[in-house]
Amino acid sequence: MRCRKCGQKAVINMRQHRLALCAEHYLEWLPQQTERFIKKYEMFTRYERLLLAVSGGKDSLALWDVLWHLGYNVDGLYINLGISGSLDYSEQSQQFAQNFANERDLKLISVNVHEKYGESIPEIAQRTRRGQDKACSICGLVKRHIFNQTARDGNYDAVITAHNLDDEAAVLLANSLDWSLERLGRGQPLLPAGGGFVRKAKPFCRFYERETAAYALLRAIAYISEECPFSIGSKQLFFKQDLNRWEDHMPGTKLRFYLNYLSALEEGAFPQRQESPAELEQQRCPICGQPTITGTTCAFCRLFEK
Amino acid sequence: MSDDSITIILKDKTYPMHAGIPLHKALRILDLTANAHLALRDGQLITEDEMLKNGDRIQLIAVISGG
Ligand code: SF4
Ligand SMILES: [Zn+2]
Ligand SMILES: [Zn+2]
Repeated sequence: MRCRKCGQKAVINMRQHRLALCAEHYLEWLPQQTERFIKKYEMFTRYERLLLAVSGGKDSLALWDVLWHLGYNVDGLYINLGISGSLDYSEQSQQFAQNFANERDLKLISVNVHEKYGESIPEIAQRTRRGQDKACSICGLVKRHIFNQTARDGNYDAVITAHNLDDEAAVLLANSLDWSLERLGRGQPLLPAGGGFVRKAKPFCRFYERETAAYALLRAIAYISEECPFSIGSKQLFFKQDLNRWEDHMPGTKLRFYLNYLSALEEGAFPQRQESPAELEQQRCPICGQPTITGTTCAFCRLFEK
Repeated sequence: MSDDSITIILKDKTYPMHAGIPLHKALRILDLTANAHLALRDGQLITEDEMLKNGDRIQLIAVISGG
Protein backbone atom coordinates (compact mmCIF):
# COMPACT_ATOMS: atom_id res chain seq x y z
CA MET A 1 0.00 0.00 0.00
CA ARG A 2 1.27 3.45 -0.96
CA CYS A 3 1.07 6.85 0.71
CA ARG A 4 -1.64 8.95 -0.87
CA LYS A 5 0.53 12.05 -0.72
CA CYS A 6 3.90 10.89 -2.01
CA GLY A 7 3.56 7.32 -3.24
CA GLN A 8 6.14 5.95 -0.79
CA LYS A 9 5.39 2.84 1.20
CA ALA A 10 2.57 3.48 3.66
CA VAL A 11 2.94 2.69 7.36
CA ILE A 12 -0.73 3.07 8.24
CA ASN A 13 -4.00 2.59 6.45
CA MET A 14 -7.05 4.29 7.90
CA ARG A 15 -9.83 2.46 6.19
CA GLN A 16 -12.54 4.68 7.62
CA HIS A 17 -10.97 7.64 5.78
CA ARG A 18 -9.73 5.61 2.80
CA LEU A 19 -6.37 7.12 3.59
CA ALA A 20 -2.96 5.45 3.71
CA LEU A 21 0.12 7.48 4.65
CA CYS A 22 3.88 7.07 4.94
CA ALA A 23 5.59 7.87 8.25
CA GLU A 24 6.57 11.38 7.23
CA HIS A 25 3.12 12.32 6.03
CA TYR A 26 1.38 10.63 8.93
CA LEU A 27 3.43 12.70 11.37
CA GLU A 28 2.24 15.77 9.51
CA TRP A 29 -1.35 14.67 9.17
CA LEU A 30 -2.15 13.86 12.79
CA PRO A 31 -1.11 17.25 14.25
CA GLN A 32 -2.91 19.04 11.38
CA GLN A 33 -6.08 17.14 12.15
CA THR A 34 -5.70 17.85 15.86
CA GLU A 35 -5.44 21.55 15.07
CA ARG A 36 -8.54 21.27 12.91
CA PHE A 37 -10.56 19.70 15.76
CA ILE A 38 -9.31 22.31 18.26
CA LYS A 39 -10.62 25.03 15.94
CA LYS A 40 -13.80 23.23 14.91
CA TYR A 41 -14.95 22.68 18.48
CA GLU A 42 -13.48 26.02 19.65
CA MET A 43 -11.53 24.28 22.37
CA PHE A 44 -8.75 26.74 23.26
CA THR A 45 -6.21 29.14 21.79
CA ARG A 46 -2.46 29.63 21.92
CA TYR A 47 -2.95 32.54 24.32
CA GLU A 48 -4.45 30.38 27.02
CA ARG A 49 -2.84 28.35 29.78
CA LEU A 50 -3.75 24.71 29.49
CA LEU A 51 -3.50 21.78 31.87
CA LEU A 52 -3.29 18.29 30.40
CA ALA A 53 -3.98 15.13 32.39
CA VAL A 54 -0.93 12.95 31.81
CA SER A 55 -0.97 9.28 32.72
CA GLY A 56 2.32 8.20 31.19
CA GLY A 57 0.41 6.21 28.56
CA LYS A 58 0.53 6.64 24.79
CA ASP A 59 -2.47 8.92 24.37
CA SER A 60 -1.58 11.60 26.88
CA LEU A 61 2.09 11.71 25.92
CA ALA A 62 1.26 11.76 22.21
CA LEU A 63 -1.18 14.61 22.78
CA TRP A 64 1.33 16.55 24.83
CA ASP A 65 3.86 16.10 22.05
CA VAL A 66 1.39 17.28 19.41
CA LEU A 67 0.24 20.34 21.36
CA TRP A 68 3.82 21.23 22.16
CA HIS A 69 4.79 21.03 18.49
CA LEU A 70 1.75 23.10 17.57
CA GLY A 71 2.93 25.82 19.95
CA TYR A 72 0.28 25.57 22.66
CA ASN A 73 1.05 26.51 26.24
CA VAL A 74 0.44 23.22 28.07
CA ASP A 75 1.50 22.00 31.48
CA GLY A 76 0.96 18.39 32.51
CA LEU A 77 -0.70 17.00 35.62
CA TYR A 78 0.31 13.54 36.77
CA ILE A 79 -1.68 11.93 39.58
CA ASN A 80 0.11 9.14 41.41
CA LEU A 81 -2.69 6.81 42.46
CA GLY A 82 -0.56 4.50 44.57
CA ILE A 83 -1.37 1.47 42.43
CA SER A 84 1.41 -1.07 42.63
CA GLY A 85 0.66 -4.55 41.32
CA SER A 86 3.57 -6.65 40.17
CA LEU A 87 4.97 -3.88 37.98
CA ASP A 88 4.65 -0.95 40.31
CA TYR A 89 2.27 0.64 37.86
CA SER A 90 2.03 4.10 39.41
CA GLU A 91 5.76 4.57 39.99
CA GLN A 92 6.60 3.39 36.51
CA SER A 93 4.00 5.49 34.74
CA GLN A 94 5.11 8.55 36.71
CA GLN A 95 8.65 7.93 35.54
CA PHE A 96 7.56 7.87 31.89
CA ALA A 97 5.62 11.10 32.35
CA GLN A 98 8.50 12.80 34.16
CA ASN A 99 11.10 11.71 31.61
CA PHE A 100 8.93 12.99 28.78
CA ALA A 101 8.59 16.38 30.48
CA ASN A 102 12.29 16.62 31.37
CA GLU A 103 13.46 15.79 27.86
CA ARG A 104 11.36 18.62 26.45
CA ASP A 105 11.72 21.02 29.32
CA LEU A 106 7.97 20.99 29.99
CA LYS A 107 6.29 21.55 33.32
CA LEU A 108 4.75 18.52 35.00
CA ILE A 109 2.79 18.96 38.21
CA SER A 110 2.68 15.74 40.22
CA VAL A 111 0.14 14.99 42.91
CA ASN A 112 0.55 11.92 45.07
CA VAL A 113 -2.82 10.74 46.40
CA HIS A 114 -1.29 8.88 49.32
CA GLU A 115 0.87 11.80 50.39
CA LYS A 116 -1.95 14.28 50.06
CA TYR A 117 -4.86 12.33 51.51
CA GLY A 118 -3.13 9.66 53.59
CA GLU A 119 -4.39 6.74 51.51
CA SER A 120 -3.82 5.30 48.05
CA ILE A 121 -6.67 4.56 45.62
CA PRO A 122 -6.71 0.83 46.46
CA GLU A 123 -6.85 1.66 50.17
CA ILE A 124 -9.73 4.09 49.76
CA ALA A 125 -11.52 1.59 47.55
CA GLN A 126 -11.17 -1.15 50.11
CA ARG A 127 -12.48 0.95 52.95
CA THR A 128 -15.51 2.56 51.28
CA ARG A 129 -18.80 1.10 50.13
CA ARG A 130 -18.58 2.92 46.81
CA GLY A 131 -15.21 1.30 46.18
CA GLN A 132 -16.01 -2.33 46.89
CA ASP A 133 -14.68 -4.25 43.89
CA LYS A 134 -14.74 -0.99 41.98
CA ALA A 135 -11.44 0.80 42.41
CA CYS A 136 -12.12 2.55 39.09
CA SER A 137 -15.18 4.31 40.46
CA ILE A 138 -13.11 5.78 43.32
CA CYS A 139 -10.22 6.45 41.00
CA GLY A 140 -12.33 8.42 38.53
CA LEU A 141 -13.87 10.49 41.29
CA VAL A 142 -10.50 11.29 42.87
CA LYS A 143 -8.85 12.10 39.54
CA ARG A 144 -11.67 14.44 38.49
CA HIS A 145 -11.51 16.22 41.83
CA ILE A 146 -7.74 16.72 41.81
CA PHE A 147 -7.73 17.72 38.15
CA ASN A 148 -10.38 20.39 38.63
CA GLN A 149 -8.87 21.62 41.90
CA THR A 150 -5.37 21.91 40.41
CA ALA A 151 -6.73 23.75 37.39
CA ARG A 152 -8.62 26.23 39.56
CA ASP A 153 -5.76 26.77 41.99
CA GLY A 154 -3.33 27.29 39.12
CA ASN A 155 -5.72 29.57 37.19
CA TYR A 156 -5.65 27.44 34.07
CA ASP A 157 -8.04 28.44 31.31
CA ALA A 158 -8.88 24.90 30.26
CA VAL A 159 -8.18 21.32 31.17
CA ILE A 160 -7.43 18.75 28.52
CA THR A 161 -7.72 15.00 28.45
CA ALA A 162 -6.36 12.66 25.79
CA HIS A 163 -9.51 10.60 25.29
CA ASN A 164 -9.50 9.07 21.82
CA LEU A 165 -12.46 7.98 19.74
CA ASP A 166 -12.30 4.42 21.07
CA ASP A 167 -12.59 5.75 24.62
CA GLU A 168 -15.52 7.94 23.67
CA ALA A 169 -17.26 5.23 21.65
CA ALA A 170 -16.90 2.69 24.48
CA VAL A 171 -18.49 5.11 26.96
CA LEU A 172 -21.16 5.93 24.41
CA LEU A 173 -21.93 2.26 23.93
CA ALA A 174 -22.15 1.67 27.68
CA ASN A 175 -24.42 4.67 28.18
CA SER A 176 -26.59 3.69 25.22
CA LEU A 177 -27.05 0.17 26.54
CA ASP A 178 -28.13 1.70 29.84
CA TRP A 179 -30.29 4.37 28.16
CA SER A 180 -28.56 6.79 30.47
CA LEU A 181 -29.90 10.00 28.92
CA GLU A 182 -28.31 12.21 31.51
CA ARG A 183 -24.84 10.87 30.73
CA LEU A 184 -25.53 10.86 27.02
CA GLY A 185 -26.12 14.58 27.36
CA ARG A 186 -22.55 15.13 28.50
CA GLY A 187 -20.41 13.62 25.75
CA GLN A 188 -19.30 16.78 23.95
CA PRO A 189 -15.64 17.15 22.89
CA LEU A 190 -15.76 20.50 24.65
CA LEU A 191 -17.55 21.17 27.92
CA PRO A 192 -17.66 24.90 28.61
CA ALA A 193 -16.70 26.28 32.00
CA GLY A 194 -19.49 26.75 34.47
CA GLY A 195 -20.43 26.45 38.09
CA GLY A 196 -16.90 26.06 39.34
CA PHE A 197 -15.85 23.61 36.66
CA VAL A 198 -13.04 24.60 34.35
CA ARG A 199 -13.55 24.27 30.57
CA LYS A 200 -12.73 20.74 29.46
CA ALA A 201 -11.52 19.68 26.02
CA LYS A 202 -10.65 16.43 24.24
CA PRO A 203 -8.59 17.26 21.14
CA PHE A 204 -7.92 13.58 20.29
CA CYS A 205 -11.59 12.59 20.33
CA ARG A 206 -11.72 11.84 16.60
CA PHE A 207 -8.67 9.60 16.35
CA TYR A 208 -8.84 5.86 16.62
CA GLU A 209 -6.74 4.38 19.37
CA ARG A 210 -4.39 2.70 16.94
CA GLU A 211 -3.74 6.09 15.35
CA THR A 212 -2.58 7.70 18.58
CA ALA A 213 -0.48 4.59 19.25
CA ALA A 214 1.04 4.81 15.77
CA TYR A 215 1.91 8.45 16.35
CA ALA A 216 3.63 7.65 19.67
CA LEU A 217 5.55 4.84 18.00
CA LEU A 218 6.65 6.81 14.96
CA ARG A 219 7.75 9.68 17.16
CA ALA A 220 9.62 7.21 19.39
CA ILE A 221 7.81 8.44 22.49
CA ALA A 222 8.56 6.18 25.46
CA TYR A 223 5.29 5.39 27.23
CA ILE A 224 4.06 2.82 29.72
CA SER A 225 2.59 -0.08 27.81
CA GLU A 226 1.57 -2.08 30.87
CA GLU A 227 -2.01 -1.70 31.92
CA CYS A 228 -3.32 -0.64 35.28
CA PRO A 229 -4.05 -3.95 37.06
CA PHE A 230 -7.61 -2.77 37.80
CA SER A 231 -8.42 -2.40 34.12
CA ILE A 232 -8.16 -6.12 33.48
CA GLY A 233 -11.59 -7.44 32.64
CA SER A 234 -13.10 -3.96 32.70
CA LYS A 235 -16.33 -3.23 30.86
CA GLN A 236 -14.57 -0.57 28.85
CA LEU A 237 -12.03 -3.03 27.43
CA PHE A 238 -14.81 -5.42 26.60
CA PHE A 239 -16.74 -2.76 24.67
CA LYS A 240 -13.62 -1.58 22.87
CA GLN A 241 -12.84 -5.11 21.82
CA ASP A 242 -16.32 -5.57 20.38
CA LEU A 243 -16.31 -2.21 18.63
CA ASN A 244 -13.04 -3.16 16.97
CA ARG A 245 -14.44 -6.46 15.79
CA TRP A 246 -17.28 -4.60 14.11
CA GLU A 247 -14.79 -2.11 12.73
CA ASP A 248 -12.73 -4.90 11.18
CA HIS A 249 -15.79 -6.11 9.29
CA MET A 250 -17.39 -2.73 8.63
CA PRO A 251 -14.76 0.00 8.40
CA GLY A 252 -16.03 3.32 9.69
CA THR A 253 -18.48 1.86 12.22
CA LYS A 254 -16.80 3.47 15.21
CA LEU A 255 -16.41 6.81 13.47
CA ARG A 256 -20.06 6.92 12.37
CA PHE A 257 -21.28 5.81 15.79
CA TYR A 258 -19.42 8.70 17.41
CA LEU A 259 -19.94 11.44 14.82
CA ASN A 260 -23.64 10.72 14.38
CA TYR A 261 -23.97 10.84 18.15
CA LEU A 262 -22.31 14.27 18.19
CA SER A 263 -24.78 15.47 15.57
CA ALA A 264 -27.68 14.14 17.60
CA LEU A 265 -26.27 15.80 20.68
CA GLU A 266 -26.02 19.10 18.89
CA GLU A 267 -29.60 18.78 17.68
CA GLY A 268 -30.71 18.46 21.28
CA ALA A 269 -31.54 14.75 21.27
CA PHE A 270 -30.45 14.39 24.90
CA PRO A 271 -31.48 16.44 27.91
CA GLN A 272 -28.96 19.02 29.01
CA ARG A 273 -28.40 19.97 32.62
CA GLN A 274 -31.06 22.32 33.85
CA GLU A 275 -29.12 24.28 36.48
CA SER A 276 -27.85 27.61 35.27
CA PRO A 277 -24.23 28.42 36.13
CA ALA A 278 -25.52 30.89 38.72
CA GLU A 279 -27.57 28.20 40.42
CA LEU A 280 -24.68 25.78 40.39
CA GLU A 281 -22.47 28.49 41.79
CA GLN A 282 -24.50 28.39 44.99
CA GLN A 283 -24.16 24.63 45.34
CA ARG A 284 -20.66 24.40 46.67
CA CYS A 285 -19.24 21.69 48.86
CA PRO A 286 -18.70 23.27 52.30
CA ILE A 287 -15.41 21.38 52.71
CA CYS A 288 -13.54 21.75 49.42
CA GLY A 289 -15.54 24.45 47.66
CA GLN A 290 -16.01 22.44 44.48
CA PRO A 291 -19.47 22.34 42.92
CA THR A 292 -21.85 19.52 43.79
CA ILE A 293 -25.26 18.63 42.46
CA THR A 294 -26.75 18.05 45.87
CA GLY A 295 -25.52 21.25 47.50
CA THR A 296 -24.13 19.27 50.45
CA THR A 297 -20.73 17.64 51.00
CA CYS A 298 -19.43 16.46 47.63
CA ALA A 299 -18.84 12.81 46.74
CA PHE A 300 -15.09 13.27 46.99
CA CYS A 301 -15.14 14.74 50.49
CA ARG A 302 -17.62 12.09 51.62
CA LEU A 303 -14.90 9.50 50.96
CA PHE A 304 -12.97 10.92 53.88
CA GLU A 305 -15.84 11.56 56.29
CA LYS A 306 -15.42 9.89 59.62
CA MET B 1 11.28 -26.47 4.61
CA SER B 2 8.04 -26.28 6.54
CA ASP B 3 5.62 -23.56 5.61
CA ASP B 4 5.44 -22.36 9.22
CA SER B 5 8.17 -19.96 8.40
CA ILE B 6 6.96 -16.75 10.02
CA THR B 7 6.99 -15.77 13.65
CA ILE B 8 4.40 -13.46 15.08
CA ILE B 9 5.16 -12.02 18.47
CA LEU B 10 2.60 -10.52 20.81
CA LYS B 11 3.63 -9.59 24.36
CA ASP B 12 5.63 -12.60 25.57
CA LYS B 13 3.99 -15.12 23.23
CA THR B 14 5.12 -16.22 19.78
CA TYR B 15 2.94 -17.79 17.11
CA PRO B 16 4.17 -19.67 14.05
CA MET B 17 2.47 -18.77 10.78
CA HIS B 18 2.76 -19.70 7.09
CA ALA B 19 4.41 -17.41 4.64
CA GLY B 20 2.66 -16.01 1.59
CA ILE B 21 -0.41 -14.54 3.24
CA PRO B 22 -1.14 -10.90 3.98
CA LEU B 23 -0.95 -9.63 7.54
CA HIS B 24 -4.71 -9.17 7.89
CA LYS B 25 -5.22 -12.82 7.09
CA ALA B 26 -2.64 -13.89 9.67
CA LEU B 27 -4.42 -11.76 12.26
CA ARG B 28 -7.71 -13.40 11.38
CA ILE B 29 -6.20 -16.87 11.76
CA LEU B 30 -4.97 -15.89 15.22
CA ASP B 31 -8.39 -14.39 16.02
CA LEU B 32 -6.86 -10.98 16.62
CA THR B 33 -8.66 -7.78 15.66
CA ALA B 34 -6.69 -5.71 13.16
CA ASN B 35 -8.03 -2.48 14.62
CA ALA B 36 -6.71 -3.34 18.06
CA HIS B 37 -3.12 -3.94 16.88
CA LEU B 38 -0.20 -2.39 15.09
CA ALA B 39 2.44 -4.53 13.41
CA LEU B 40 6.16 -3.94 13.08
CA ARG B 41 8.61 -5.70 10.77
CA ASP B 42 12.26 -4.92 11.43
CA GLY B 43 11.06 -2.08 13.60
CA GLN B 44 8.98 -0.53 10.78
CA LEU B 45 5.21 -0.19 10.92
CA ILE B 46 3.48 -2.14 8.17
CA THR B 47 -0.05 -2.03 6.78
CA GLU B 48 -2.44 -5.01 6.87
CA ASP B 49 -2.18 -5.78 3.16
CA GLU B 50 1.55 -6.45 3.53
CA MET B 51 2.55 -9.96 2.39
CA LEU B 52 4.36 -11.99 5.02
CA LYS B 53 7.54 -13.51 3.63
CA ASN B 54 9.62 -16.45 4.63
CA GLY B 55 11.66 -15.67 7.73
CA ASP B 56 9.67 -12.57 8.76
CA ARG B 57 9.39 -11.76 12.42
CA ILE B 58 6.33 -9.64 13.02
CA GLN B 59 5.98 -7.85 16.30
CA LEU B 60 2.40 -6.98 17.22
CA ILE B 61 1.51 -4.18 19.57
CA ALA B 62 -1.82 -4.22 21.34
CA VAL B 63 -3.07 -0.65 21.25
CA ILE B 64 -6.22 -0.86 23.31
CA SER B 65 -6.07 0.28 26.89
CA GLY B 66 -8.92 0.31 29.35
CA GLY B 67 -9.96 1.83 32.60
S1 SF4 C 1 -8.08 1.22 35.41
FE1 SF4 C 1 -9.36 2.03 37.04
S2 SF4 C 1 -8.03 2.13 38.82
FE2 SF4 C 1 -6.70 1.91 37.05
S3 SF4 C 1 -6.15 4.00 36.48
FE3 SF4 C 1 -7.95 3.45 35.27
S4 SF4 C 1 -9.70 4.18 36.47
FE4 SF4 C 1 -7.91 4.12 37.84
ZN1 LIG D 1 4.06 10.17 2.04
ZN1 LIG E 1 -15.84 18.50 48.62
